[in-house]
Amino acid sequence: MGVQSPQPIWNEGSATMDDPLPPTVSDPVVEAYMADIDRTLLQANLKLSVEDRIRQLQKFQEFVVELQRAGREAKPWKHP
Amino acid sequence: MEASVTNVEQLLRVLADAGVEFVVIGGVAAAMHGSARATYDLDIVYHRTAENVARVSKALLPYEPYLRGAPRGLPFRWDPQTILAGLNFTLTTTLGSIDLLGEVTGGGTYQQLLPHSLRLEVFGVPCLCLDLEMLIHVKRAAGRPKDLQAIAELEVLRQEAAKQRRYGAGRE
Repeated sequence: MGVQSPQPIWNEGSATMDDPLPPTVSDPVVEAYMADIDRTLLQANLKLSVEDRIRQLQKFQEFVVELQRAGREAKPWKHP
Repeated sequence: MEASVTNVEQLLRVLADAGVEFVVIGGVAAAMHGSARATYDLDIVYHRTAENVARVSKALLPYEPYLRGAPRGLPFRWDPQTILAGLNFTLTTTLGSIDLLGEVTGGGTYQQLLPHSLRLEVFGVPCLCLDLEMLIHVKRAAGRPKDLQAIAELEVLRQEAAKQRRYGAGRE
């Protein structure tokens, strides 16, 4: 079942750019990092349902666990 | 850090089926908003009423909750008394890692987070998720240098989501 974007509960303004609380703080370090964020990746994620975003996260977890297993079991290379 | 797979879907289902009142925060909430960053645990803020604490205790008990990173064999009992005697718990379970927070820095308690929560139904499970603005706020309040890149990504997500809303609204 597809799930669309989260909908605000309690107060309609809580999830908009105009929300006065909490304010976004100006922070040069964060702004420097923002310049390097891959927006295309986030734009692609925003097109997914919330469920697909979670599935993607779990697939990545499985991938990392498998890489770590492979790393643990790695043996030194020997000339054939 | 050794990664492990956390069954987010099943953990949410177990909590919701037991009627636990909670708000999803942290990396999973960020992922729900579209973050591309990895996270290996589910963070929730739970309501600290006696009834809800009893529900949390009962819901997780079959999944062998234990203090994450603690040596095995400690006299740790997962019951309402233990939860009420503490506040925040970082746990391992057979469904994966879960952080149960009675309060979160910069955001407060479950009730204080409600006005900043979004209602979701994910995998057929109804739950509340912290909104993007408050997610950024609590990350900033935590004051951890390691969160700075995550905050940057959430700020960009906020911009992109707003752009998408404006664009979507323009097409209607």
